[in-house]
Amino acid sequence: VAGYSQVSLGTLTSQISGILDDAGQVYWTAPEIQFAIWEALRYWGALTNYWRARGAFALSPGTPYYDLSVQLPALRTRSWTLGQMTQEIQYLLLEAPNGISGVGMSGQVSVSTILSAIQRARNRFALDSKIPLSIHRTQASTPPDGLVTL
Amino acid sequence: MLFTSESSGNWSVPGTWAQPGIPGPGDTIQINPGNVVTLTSSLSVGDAGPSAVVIELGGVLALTANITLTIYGAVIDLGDIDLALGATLNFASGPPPVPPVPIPAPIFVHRASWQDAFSGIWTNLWREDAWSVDRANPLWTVEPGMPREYSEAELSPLQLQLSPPPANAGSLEIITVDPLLIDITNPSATFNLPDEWIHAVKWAALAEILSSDSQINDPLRAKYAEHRYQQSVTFARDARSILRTLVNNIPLPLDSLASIDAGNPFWRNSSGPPSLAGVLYDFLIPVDVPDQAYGVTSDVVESAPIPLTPASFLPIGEEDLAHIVDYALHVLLFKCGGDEFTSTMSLYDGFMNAIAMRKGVNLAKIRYLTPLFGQVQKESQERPDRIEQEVGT
Repeated sequence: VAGYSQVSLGTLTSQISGILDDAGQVYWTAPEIQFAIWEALRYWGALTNYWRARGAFALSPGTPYYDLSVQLPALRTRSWTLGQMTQEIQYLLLEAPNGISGVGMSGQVSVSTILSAIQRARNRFALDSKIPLSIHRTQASTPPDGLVTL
Repeated sequence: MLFTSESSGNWSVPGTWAQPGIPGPGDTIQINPGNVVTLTSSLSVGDAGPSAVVIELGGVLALTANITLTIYGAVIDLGDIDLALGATLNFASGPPPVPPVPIPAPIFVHRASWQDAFSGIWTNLWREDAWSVDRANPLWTVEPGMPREYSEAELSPLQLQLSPPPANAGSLEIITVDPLLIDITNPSATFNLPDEWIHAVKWAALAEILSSDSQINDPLRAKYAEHRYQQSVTFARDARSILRTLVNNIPLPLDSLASIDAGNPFWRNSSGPPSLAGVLYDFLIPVDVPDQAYGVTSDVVESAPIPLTPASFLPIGEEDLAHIVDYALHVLLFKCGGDEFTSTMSLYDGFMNAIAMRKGVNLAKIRYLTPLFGQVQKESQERPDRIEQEVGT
Protein backbone atom coordinates (compact mmCIF):
# COMPACT_ATOMS: atom_id res chain seq x y z
CA VAL A 1 0.00 0.00 0.00
CA ALA A 2 1.89 3.03 -1.17
CA GLY A 3 1.00 6.62 -0.67
CA TYR A 4 -0.06 6.96 2.95
CA SER A 5 3.04 9.02 3.56
CA GLN A 6 6.02 10.18 1.59
CA VAL A 7 8.41 8.68 4.11
CA SER A 8 10.14 5.45 3.25
CA LEU A 9 11.42 2.89 5.71
CA GLY A 10 14.98 3.86 4.84
CA THR A 11 14.29 7.55 5.39
CA LEU A 12 12.58 6.99 8.71
CA THR A 13 15.41 4.73 9.82
CA SER A 14 17.90 7.50 9.06
CA GLN A 15 15.75 10.07 10.85
CA ILE A 16 15.65 7.91 13.95
CA SER A 17 19.43 7.42 13.77
CA GLY A 18 19.76 11.17 13.72
CA ILE A 19 17.50 11.62 16.75
CA LEU A 20 19.60 9.03 18.56
CA ASP A 21 22.71 11.03 17.65
CA ASP A 22 24.03 7.94 15.90
CA ALA A 23 23.93 8.92 12.24
CA GLY A 24 26.59 6.32 11.42
CA GLN A 25 24.34 3.60 12.86
CA VAL A 26 27.15 2.35 15.08
CA TYR A 27 25.23 1.85 18.30
CA TRP A 28 21.82 1.21 16.74
CA THR A 29 22.09 -0.55 13.38
CA ALA A 30 19.53 -0.22 10.61
CA PRO A 31 18.02 -3.71 11.15
CA GLU A 32 17.62 -2.99 14.86
CA ILE A 33 15.83 0.29 14.15
CA GLN A 34 13.61 -1.45 11.61
CA PHE A 35 12.59 -4.06 14.19
CA ALA A 36 11.48 -1.21 16.45
CA ILE A 37 9.54 0.50 13.63
CA TRP A 38 7.81 -2.75 12.71
CA GLU A 39 6.80 -3.37 16.31
CA ALA A 40 5.46 0.18 16.52
CA LEU A 41 3.35 -0.38 13.40
CA ARG A 42 2.02 -3.72 14.63
CA TYR A 43 1.18 -2.40 18.07
CA TRP A 44 -0.46 0.69 16.58
CA GLY A 45 -2.54 -1.49 14.28
CA ALA A 46 -3.51 -3.94 17.03
CA LEU A 47 -4.76 -1.21 19.34
CA THR A 48 -6.40 1.13 16.83
CA ASN A 49 -7.67 -1.28 14.12
CA TYR A 50 -5.94 1.20 11.80
CA TRP A 51 -5.65 -1.17 8.84
CA ARG A 52 -8.86 -2.82 7.68
CA ALA A 53 -9.42 -4.78 4.53
CA ARG A 54 -12.00 -6.95 2.83
CA GLY A 55 -11.26 -10.57 1.96
CA ALA A 56 -13.29 -13.19 0.16
CA PHE A 57 -13.57 -16.91 0.67
CA ALA A 58 -16.20 -19.63 0.35
CA LEU A 59 -18.32 -21.45 2.90
CA SER A 60 -18.45 -25.19 2.34
CA PRO A 61 -21.53 -27.35 2.95
CA GLY A 62 -21.46 -28.97 6.39
CA THR A 63 -18.44 -27.00 7.63
CA PRO A 64 -19.32 -24.87 10.66
CA TYR A 65 -15.98 -23.24 11.61
CA TYR A 66 -13.76 -20.93 9.53
CA ASP A 67 -10.40 -19.73 10.77
CA LEU A 68 -9.66 -16.46 9.01
CA SER A 69 -5.93 -16.85 9.57
CA VAL A 70 -6.30 -19.83 7.22
CA GLN A 71 -8.95 -18.40 4.89
CA LEU A 72 -7.36 -14.95 4.59
CA PRO A 73 -3.68 -15.49 5.45
CA ALA A 74 -2.51 -12.32 3.71
CA LEU A 75 -4.75 -10.20 5.94
CA ARG A 76 -4.48 -12.10 9.23
CA THR A 77 -0.80 -12.92 9.11
CA ARG A 78 1.11 -15.22 11.44
CA SER A 79 4.54 -14.92 9.91
CA TRP A 80 6.97 -13.74 12.59
CA THR A 81 9.75 -16.28 13.00
CA LEU A 82 11.82 -17.64 15.84
CA GLY A 83 14.97 -16.31 14.16
CA GLN A 84 13.57 -12.78 14.01
CA MET A 85 12.42 -12.79 17.61
CA THR A 86 15.73 -14.19 18.82
CA GLN A 87 17.54 -11.38 16.99
CA GLU A 88 15.21 -8.76 18.47
CA ILE A 89 15.95 -10.01 21.96
CA GLN A 90 19.68 -10.18 21.26
CA TYR A 91 19.62 -6.52 20.21
CA LEU A 92 17.75 -5.53 23.37
CA LEU A 93 20.23 -7.43 25.54
CA LEU A 94 23.27 -5.94 23.78
CA GLU A 95 24.22 -9.35 22.41
CA ALA A 96 25.52 -10.28 18.96
CA PRO A 97 22.38 -10.47 16.80
CA ASN A 98 23.11 -13.76 15.08
CA GLY A 99 19.82 -15.48 15.84
CA ILE A 100 19.46 -19.03 17.05
CA SER A 101 23.07 -19.96 16.23
CA GLY A 102 24.14 -17.86 19.21
CA VAL A 103 27.45 -17.13 17.50
CA GLY A 104 29.40 -14.31 19.15
CA MET A 105 27.21 -13.99 22.23
CA SER A 106 28.82 -12.97 25.51
CA GLY A 107 28.71 -15.14 28.61
CA GLN A 108 26.00 -12.95 30.18
CA VAL A 109 23.18 -14.95 28.67
CA SER A 110 23.16 -17.99 26.39
CA VAL A 111 21.08 -18.49 23.28
CA SER A 112 19.60 -21.57 24.95
CA THR A 113 18.29 -19.35 27.76
CA ILE A 114 16.73 -17.01 25.20
CA LEU A 115 15.15 -19.86 23.22
CA SER A 116 13.74 -21.52 26.32
CA ALA A 117 12.31 -18.22 27.51
CA ILE A 118 10.67 -17.66 24.11
CA GLN A 119 9.16 -21.15 24.16
CA ARG A 120 7.66 -20.60 27.61
CA ALA A 121 6.54 -17.06 26.79
CA ARG A 122 4.66 -18.19 23.69
CA ASN A 123 2.60 -20.71 25.63
CA ARG A 124 2.15 -18.33 28.56
CA PHE A 125 0.63 -15.79 26.18
CA ALA A 126 -1.66 -18.43 24.65
CA LEU A 127 -2.91 -19.44 28.09
CA ASP A 128 -3.38 -15.87 29.32
CA SER A 129 -4.94 -14.35 26.21
CA LYS A 130 -6.88 -17.45 25.08
CA ILE A 131 -5.63 -17.12 21.50
CA PRO A 132 -4.95 -18.65 19.03
CA LEU A 133 -7.84 -21.07 18.64
CA SER A 134 -7.83 -24.59 17.29
CA ILE A 135 -10.63 -27.00 16.57
CA HIS A 136 -10.42 -30.69 17.41
CA ARG A 137 -12.88 -33.48 16.90
CA THR A 138 -12.37 -36.81 18.61
CA GLN A 139 -14.36 -39.99 18.53
CA ALA A 140 -15.23 -41.18 21.99
CA SER A 141 -16.62 -44.54 23.00
CA THR A 142 -18.81 -44.66 26.06
CA PRO A 143 -16.44 -43.87 28.92
CA PRO A 144 -18.33 -45.25 31.94
CA ASP A 145 -17.10 -42.39 34.08
CA GLY A 146 -17.60 -39.76 31.37
CA LEU A 147 -13.91 -38.81 31.47
CA VAL A 148 -12.35 -37.97 28.10
CA THR A 149 -8.62 -37.37 27.75
CA LEU A 150 -7.79 -34.68 25.20
CA MET B 1 21.38 -30.03 11.64
CA LEU B 2 25.12 -30.21 12.35
CA PHE B 3 26.11 -30.36 16.01
CA THR B 4 29.76 -29.67 16.85
CA SER B 5 31.19 -30.47 20.26
CA GLU B 6 32.20 -27.55 22.40
CA SER B 7 33.62 -29.44 25.37
CA SER B 8 33.94 -32.94 26.76
CA GLY B 9 30.77 -34.27 28.34
CA ASN B 10 27.65 -36.36 28.07
CA TRP B 11 25.98 -36.46 24.64
CA SER B 12 22.61 -35.64 26.22
CA VAL B 13 23.79 -32.47 27.96
CA PRO B 14 23.15 -29.36 25.82
CA GLY B 15 26.38 -27.71 27.06
CA THR B 16 28.43 -30.40 25.33
CA TRP B 17 27.40 -28.96 21.97
CA ALA B 18 27.94 -25.54 20.45
CA GLN B 19 24.41 -25.48 19.04
CA PRO B 20 21.19 -25.34 21.05
CA GLY B 21 19.66 -28.72 21.85
CA ILE B 22 21.15 -32.19 21.55
CA PRO B 23 21.72 -34.24 18.38
CA GLY B 24 19.22 -36.93 17.54
CA PRO B 25 17.74 -38.73 14.53
CA GLY B 26 18.52 -36.93 11.27
CA ASP B 27 21.29 -34.75 12.78
CA THR B 28 25.00 -34.94 11.97
CA ILE B 29 27.78 -34.53 14.52
CA GLN B 30 31.39 -33.42 14.63
CA ILE B 31 33.58 -34.12 17.67
CA ASN B 32 36.37 -31.58 17.86
CA PRO B 33 39.98 -32.24 18.93
CA GLY B 34 40.39 -32.75 22.67
CA ASN B 35 36.68 -33.39 23.29
CA VAL B 36 35.43 -36.71 24.70
CA VAL B 37 31.70 -37.11 24.10
CA THR B 38 30.03 -39.97 25.98
CA LEU B 39 26.80 -41.56 24.78
CA THR B 40 24.91 -43.33 27.57
CA SER B 41 21.71 -44.48 25.86
CA SER B 42 20.87 -45.99 22.47
CA LEU B 43 20.24 -43.52 19.69
CA SER B 44 20.22 -43.07 15.93
CA VAL B 45 21.99 -40.23 14.20
CA GLY B 46 23.05 -39.14 10.71
CA ASP B 47 21.50 -37.84 7.52
CA ALA B 48 22.63 -40.60 5.11
CA GLY B 49 25.28 -38.15 3.82
CA PRO B 50 29.06 -38.49 3.34
CA SER B 51 29.95 -37.05 6.76
CA ALA B 52 27.21 -38.10 9.14
CA VAL B 53 29.64 -38.55 12.02
CA VAL B 54 33.02 -36.80 12.01
CA ILE B 55 35.55 -37.40 14.78
CA GLU B 56 38.48 -35.02 14.45
CA LEU B 57 42.04 -35.96 15.34
CA GLY B 58 42.21 -36.09 19.14
CA GLY B 59 38.43 -36.32 19.52
CA VAL B 60 36.78 -39.32 21.17
CA LEU B 61 33.30 -40.79 20.90
CA ALA B 62 32.70 -43.12 23.86
CA LEU B 63 29.73 -45.50 24.15
CA THR B 64 28.86 -46.90 27.60
CA ALA B 65 27.98 -50.58 28.08
CA ASN B 66 25.09 -52.32 26.31
CA ILE B 67 23.91 -49.49 24.09
CA THR B 68 23.69 -49.15 20.31
CA LEU B 69 24.49 -46.13 18.19
CA THR B 70 22.82 -46.45 14.78
CA ILE B 71 24.47 -44.29 12.13
CA TYR B 72 22.80 -43.32 8.84
CA GLY B 73 25.58 -42.23 6.48
CA ALA B 74 29.38 -42.29 6.48
CA VAL B 75 31.74 -41.97 9.44
CA ILE B 76 34.99 -40.03 9.17
CA ASP B 77 37.05 -41.24 12.10
CA LEU B 78 40.35 -39.40 12.60
CA GLY B 79 40.16 -39.78 16.37
CA ASP B 80 38.91 -42.66 18.50
CA ILE B 81 35.68 -44.55 19.10
CA ASP B 82 35.65 -46.30 22.49
CA LEU B 83 33.10 -49.08 22.91
CA ALA B 84 32.41 -50.41 26.41
CA LEU B 85 31.39 -54.05 26.87
CA GLY B 86 28.22 -54.82 24.91
CA ALA B 87 28.15 -51.47 23.11
CA THR B 88 27.67 -51.64 19.33
CA LEU B 89 27.83 -49.41 16.30
CA ASN B 90 25.14 -50.15 13.74
CA PHE B 91 25.66 -48.80 10.21
CA ALA B 92 22.22 -48.46 8.65
CA SER B 93 21.36 -47.92 5.01
CA GLY B 94 18.58 -45.86 3.48
CA PRO B 95 17.14 -42.59 4.69
CA PRO B 96 17.08 -41.91 8.44
CA PRO B 97 13.72 -42.34 10.16
CA VAL B 98 11.70 -39.20 10.65
CA PRO B 99 11.22 -38.60 14.37
CA PRO B 100 7.58 -38.34 15.43
CA VAL B 101 6.45 -34.84 16.29
CA PRO B 102 4.75 -34.84 19.68
CA ILE B 103 1.35 -33.17 19.68
CA PRO B 104 0.87 -31.31 22.93
CA ALA B 105 -2.49 -31.52 24.64
CA PRO B 106 -4.71 -28.42 24.74
CA ILE B 107 -4.22 -26.06 27.66
CA PHE B 108 -7.66 -24.47 27.58
CA VAL B 109 -11.09 -25.41 26.23
CA HIS B 110 -13.16 -22.49 24.92
CA ARG B 111 -16.18 -24.50 23.95
CA ALA B 112 -17.22 -28.15 23.72
CA SER B 113 -20.07 -29.91 21.97
CA TRP B 114 -21.11 -33.52 21.76
CA GLN B 115 -22.63 -35.52 18.90
CA ASP B 116 -24.46 -38.66 19.85
CA ALA B 117 -23.43 -41.37 17.37
CA PHE B 118 -26.79 -43.12 17.61
CA SER B 119 -29.09 -40.17 16.94
CA GLY B 120 -26.56 -37.92 15.18
CA ILE B 121 -27.72 -34.98 17.36
CA TRP B 122 -25.26 -32.31 18.45
CA THR B 123 -25.60 -30.44 21.71
CA ASN B 124 -23.58 -27.66 23.24
CA LEU B 125 -21.93 -28.62 26.53
CA TRP B 126 -21.91 -26.03 29.29
CA ARG B 127 -18.85 -25.44 31.38
CA GLU B 128 -19.56 -26.49 34.94
CA ASP B 129 -17.61 -27.53 37.96
CA ALA B 130 -17.80 -31.00 39.41
CA TRP B 131 -19.14 -29.75 42.77
CA SER B 132 -22.21 -28.09 41.31
CA VAL B 133 -22.94 -31.13 39.16
CA ASP B 134 -22.71 -33.34 42.23
CA ARG B 135 -25.02 -31.00 44.12
CA ALA B 136 -27.61 -30.93 41.36
CA ASN B 137 -27.77 -34.70 41.04
CA PRO B 138 -25.65 -36.90 43.32
CA LEU B 139 -26.50 -39.91 41.15
CA TRP B 140 -25.39 -38.41 37.84
CA THR B 141 -22.43 -40.77 37.63
CA VAL B 142 -24.71 -43.83 37.41
CA GLU B 143 -27.37 -42.30 35.17
CA PRO B 144 -25.91 -42.17 31.62
CA GLY B 145 -27.61 -40.02 29.04
CA MET B 146 -26.91 -37.22 26.57
CA PRO B 147 -24.07 -35.14 28.09
CA ARG B 148 -25.08 -31.59 28.98
CA GLU B 149 -22.05 -30.22 30.81
CA TYR B 150 -18.35 -30.60 31.00
CA SER B 151 -15.83 -29.77 33.63
CA GLU B 152 -12.08 -29.75 33.37
CA ALA B 153 -10.55 -32.37 35.60
CA GLU B 154 -7.51 -31.15 37.51
CA LEU B 155 -5.25 -33.52 35.70
CA SER B 156 -2.49 -33.18 33.16
CA PRO B 157 -2.88 -33.74 30.29
CA LEU B 158 -6.22 -32.01 30.27
CA GLN B 159 -9.28 -34.24 30.67
CA LEU B 160 -12.92 -33.33 30.26
CA GLN B 161 -15.49 -34.75 32.62
CA LEU B 162 -18.76 -35.13 30.73
CA SER B 163 -21.93 -35.24 32.75
CA PRO B 164 -24.01 -37.23 32.59
CA PRO B 165 -21.71 -39.91 31.16
CA PRO B 166 -22.68 -40.51 27.51
CA ALA B 167 -25.09 -43.38 27.04
CA ASN B 168 -23.85 -43.90 23.49
CA ALA B 169 -20.57 -43.47 21.69
CA GLY B 170 -20.14 -40.10 20.02
CA SER B 171 -17.92 -37.28 18.88
CA LEU B 172 -16.49 -34.54 21.03
CA GLU B 173 -15.82 -31.29 19.21
CA ILE B 174 -13.77 -28.73 21.08
CA ILE B 175 -12.42 -25.27 20.41
CA THR B 176 -9.17 -25.07 22.27
CA VAL B 177 -6.05 -23.10 22.91
CA ASP B 178 -3.08 -25.33 22.26
CA PRO B 179 0.50 -25.05 23.39
CA LEU B 180 3.18 -25.11 20.75
CA LEU B 181 6.47 -26.97 20.79
CA ILE B 182 8.68 -24.64 18.80
CA ASP B 183 11.43 -26.29 16.79
CA ILE B 184 14.30 -24.33 18.31
CA THR B 185 16.70 -25.57 15.64
CA ASN B 186 14.67 -23.91 12.88
CA PRO B 187 15.02 -20.12 12.57
CA SER B 188 12.00 -20.07 10.24
CA ALA B 189 9.72 -21.68 12.83
CA THR B 190 6.66 -19.52 13.47
CA PHE B 191 4.57 -19.06 16.59
CA ASN B 192 1.06 -19.58 15.20
CA LEU B 193 0.12 -16.28 16.77
CA PRO B 194 -1.32 -13.20 15.05
CA ASP B 195 1.59 -10.92 14.15
CA GLU B 196 0.03 -8.00 15.99
CA TRP B 197 0.50 -9.75 19.35
CA ILE B 198 3.91 -11.27 18.76
CA HIS B 199 5.63 -8.51 20.73
CA ALA B 200 3.86 -9.80 23.86
CA VAL B 201 5.89 -13.00 23.60
CA LYS B 202 9.07 -10.96 23.28
CA TRP B 203 8.30 -8.93 26.41
CA ALA B 204 7.38 -12.03 28.41
CA ALA B 205 10.65 -13.70 27.39
CA LEU B 206 12.62 -10.57 28.31
CA ALA B 207 10.85 -10.39 31.68
CA GLU B 208 11.96 -13.94 32.42
CA ILE B 209 15.53 -13.45 31.22
CA LEU B 210 16.08 -10.15 33.01
CA SER B 211 14.69 -11.45 36.30
CA SER B 212 16.86 -14.56 36.25
CA ASP B 213 19.47 -15.02 38.94
CA SER B 214 22.45 -14.30 36.70
CA GLN B 215 24.65 -11.49 35.43
CA ILE B 216 21.87 -10.30 33.13
CA ASN B 217 19.52 -9.60 36.06
CA ASP B 218 17.98 -6.11 35.84
CA PRO B 219 14.90 -5.62 38.06
CA LEU B 220 13.92 -2.31 36.45
CA ARG B 221 13.79 -3.62 32.90
CA ALA B 222 12.34 -6.98 34.03
CA LYS B 223 9.47 -5.14 35.72
CA TYR B 224 8.91 -2.99 32.64
CA ALA B 225 8.91 -6.03 30.34
CA GLU B 226 6.43 -7.84 32.58
CA HIS B 227 4.20 -4.76 32.63
CA ARG B 228 4.29 -4.57 28.82
CA TYR B 229 3.41 -8.26 28.61
CA GLN B 230 0.46 -7.94 31.01
CA GLN B 231 -0.76 -4.86 29.15
CA SER B 232 -0.60 -6.72 25.85
CA VAL B 233 -2.57 -9.65 27.27
CA THR B 234 -5.28 -7.27 28.42
CA PHE B 235 -5.45 -5.66 24.99
CA ALA B 236 -5.40 -9.02 23.18
CA ARG B 237 -8.32 -10.28 25.25
CA ASP B 238 -10.23 -7.15 24.28
CA ALA B 239 -9.35 -7.33 20.60
CA ARG B 240 -11.50 -8.24 17.64
CA SER B 241 -10.48 -9.14 14.14
CA ILE B 242 -13.76 -9.65 12.25
CA LEU B 243 -15.67 -6.41 11.67
CA ARG B 244 -18.34 -7.27 9.15
CA THR B 245 -19.35 -10.29 7.10
CA LEU B 246 -21.55 -10.64 4.04
CA VAL B 247 -22.84 -13.90 2.64
CA ASN B 248 -23.83 -13.70 -1.00
CA ASN B 249 -23.50 -9.93 -0.56
CA ILE B 250 -26.04 -9.78 2.29
CA PRO B 251 -24.73 -8.63 5.69
CA LEU B 252 -24.91 -11.14 8.53
CA PRO B 253 -25.57 -10.04 12.10
CA LEU B 254 -22.57 -10.92 14.24
CA ASP B 255 -22.61 -12.06 17.84
CA SER B 256 -20.36 -13.83 20.28
CA LEU B 257 -20.33 -17.60 20.06
CA ALA B 258 -21.33 -17.83 23.73
CA SER B 259 -24.47 -15.79 23.01
CA ILE B 260 -25.38 -18.01 20.08
CA ASP B 261 -24.92 -21.14 22.21
CA ALA B 262 -27.11 -19.60 24.90
CA GLY B 263 -29.83 -18.73 22.38
CA ASN B 264 -29.84 -22.11 20.70
CA PRO B 265 -27.69 -24.89 22.18
CA PHE B 266 -28.69 -27.14 19.25
CA TRP B 267 -27.73 -24.76 16.41
CA ARG B 268 -25.13 -27.24 15.26
CA ASN B 269 -27.93 -29.54 14.01
CA SER B 270 -29.49 -27.01 11.65
CA SER B 271 -28.22 -26.61 8.11
CA GLY B 272 -29.35 -24.02 5.61
CA PRO B 273 -28.47 -20.52 4.46
CA PRO B 274 -26.59 -18.73 7.28
CA SER B 275 -28.65 -15.98 8.90
CA LEU B 276 -26.17 -14.87 11.54
CA ALA B 277 -22.61 -15.64 12.55
CA GLY B 278 -20.73 -16.19 15.75
CA VAL B 279 -17.28 -14.73 15.99
CA LEU B 280 -14.51 -15.71 18.32
CA TYR B 281 -11.36 -13.78 17.46
CA ASP B 282 -10.24 -15.20 14.09
CA PHE B 283 -13.02 -17.81 14.02
CA LEU B 284 -16.19 -17.20 12.03
CA ILE B 285 -19.08 -19.58 12.71
CA PRO B 286 -22.06 -19.20 10.34
CA VAL B 287 -25.45 -20.23 11.75
CA ASP B 288 -27.13 -22.29 10.32
CA VAL B 289 -24.36 -24.61 9.22
CA PRO B 290 -24.03 -24.00 5.45
CA ASP B 291 -26.05 -26.42 3.37
CA GLN B 292 -24.17 -25.54 0.20
CA ALA B 293 -21.26 -23.40 -0.96
CA TYR B 294 -21.70 -19.68 -0.30
CA GLY B 295 -19.47 -16.78 -1.22
CA VAL B 296 -18.36 -14.76 1.78
CA THR B 297 -16.67 -11.42 2.13
CA SER B 298 -15.34 -10.39 5.50
CA ASP B 299 -14.04 -7.01 6.59
CA VAL B 300 -11.21 -7.72 8.98
CA VAL B 301 -8.63 -5.87 10.97
CA GLU B 302 -5.60 -6.37 8.80
CA SER B 303 -2.23 -7.16 10.33
CA ALA B 304 -0.06 -4.08 9.83
CA PRO B 305 1.36 -4.11 6.28
CA ILE B 306 5.07 -4.10 7.04
CA PRO B 307 7.47 -2.21 4.74
CA LEU B 308 10.31 -4.63 4.13
CA THR B 309 12.74 -2.71 1.94
CA PRO B 310 14.33 0.69 2.62
CA ALA B 311 12.48 2.08 -0.41
CA SER B 312 9.06 0.96 0.83
CA PHE B 313 6.78 3.70 2.11
CA LEU B 314 5.42 3.63 5.62
CA PRO B 315 1.73 2.62 5.39
CA ILE B 316 0.57 5.35 7.73
CA GLY B 317 -0.46 8.96 7.43
CA GLU B 318 1.94 11.80 8.17
CA GLU B 319 -0.23 12.86 11.10
CA ASP B 320 0.47 9.59 12.92
CA LEU B 321 4.09 9.07 11.90
CA ALA B 322 5.42 10.93 14.93
CA HIS B 323 3.78 8.38 17.24
CA ILE B 324 5.56 5.54 15.43
CA VAL B 325 8.86 7.36 15.86
CA ASP B 326 8.16 7.92 19.58
CA TYR B 327 7.46 4.25 20.16
CA ALA B 328 10.49 3.10 18.18
CA LEU B 329 12.79 5.46 20.10
CA HIS B 330 11.38 4.24 23.40
CA VAL B 331 11.99 0.58 22.49
CA LEU B 332 15.46 1.30 21.11
CA LEU B 333 16.52 2.89 24.40
CA PHE B 334 15.47 -0.23 26.32
CA LYS B 335 18.91 -1.75 25.91
CA CYS B 336 20.51 1.23 27.66
CA GLY B 337 18.50 0.62 30.83
CA GLY B 338 18.56 2.95 33.83
CA ASP B 339 17.78 6.65 33.51
CA GLU B 340 18.43 6.70 29.78
CA PHE B 341 15.59 4.29 29.29
CA THR B 342 13.20 5.67 31.90
CA SER B 343 13.62 9.15 30.43
CA THR B 344 11.79 7.88 27.32
CA MET B 345 8.66 6.77 29.22
CA SER B 346 6.95 9.99 28.18
CA LEU B 347 7.34 8.89 24.53
CA TYR B 348 5.48 5.68 25.28
CA ASP B 349 2.80 7.61 27.18
CA GLY B 350 2.39 9.88 24.17
CA PHE B 351 2.02 6.86 21.89
CA MET B 352 -0.66 5.36 24.15
CA ASN B 353 -2.51 8.69 24.37
CA ALA B 354 -2.60 8.85 20.59
CA ILE B 355 -4.02 5.33 20.51
CA ALA B 356 -6.73 6.26 23.01
CA MET B 357 -7.70 9.20 20.83
CA ARG B 358 -7.77 7.02 17.71
CA LYS B 359 -9.93 4.42 19.48
CA GLY B 360 -12.36 7.15 20.47
CA VAL B 361 -12.63 8.19 16.83
CA ASN B 362 -13.29 4.56 15.84
CA LEU B 363 -15.99 4.12 18.46
CA ALA B 364 -17.78 7.23 17.22
CA LYS B 365 -17.48 6.27 13.56
CA ILE B 366 -18.48 2.63 13.91
CA ARG B 367 -20.92 2.59 16.78
CA TYR B 368 -22.50 -0.71 15.79
CA LEU B 369 -19.22 -2.45 16.56
CA THR B 370 -19.22 -1.51 20.23
CA PRO B 371 -21.03 -4.66 21.45
CA LEU B 372 -18.52 -6.76 19.59
CA PHE B 373 -15.39 -5.34 21.16
CA GLY B 374 -13.82 -7.53 23.79
CA GLN B 375 -15.13 -10.79 22.41
CA VAL B 376 -12.45 -12.95 23.95
CA GLN B 377 -13.05 -11.16 27.25
CA LYS B 378 -16.79 -11.66 26.90
CA GLU B 379 -16.43 -15.34 26.09
CA SER B 380 -14.15 -15.71 29.05
CA GLN B 381 -16.63 -14.01 31.39
CA GLU B 382 -19.49 -16.15 30.16
CA ARG B 383 -17.45 -19.34 30.35
CA PRO B 384 -14.96 -18.37 33.05
CA ASP B 385 -11.98 -20.54 33.77
CA ARG B 386 -10.27 -18.20 36.17
CA ILE B 387 -11.31 -15.75 38.85
CA GLU B 388 -8.75 -13.02 39.33
CA GLN B 389 -7.70 -12.88 42.95
CA GLU B 390 -5.06 -11.08 44.95
CA VAL B 391 -2.35 -13.47 46.12
CA GLY B 392 -2.83 -14.13 49.82
CA THR B 393 -6.54 -13.38 49.97
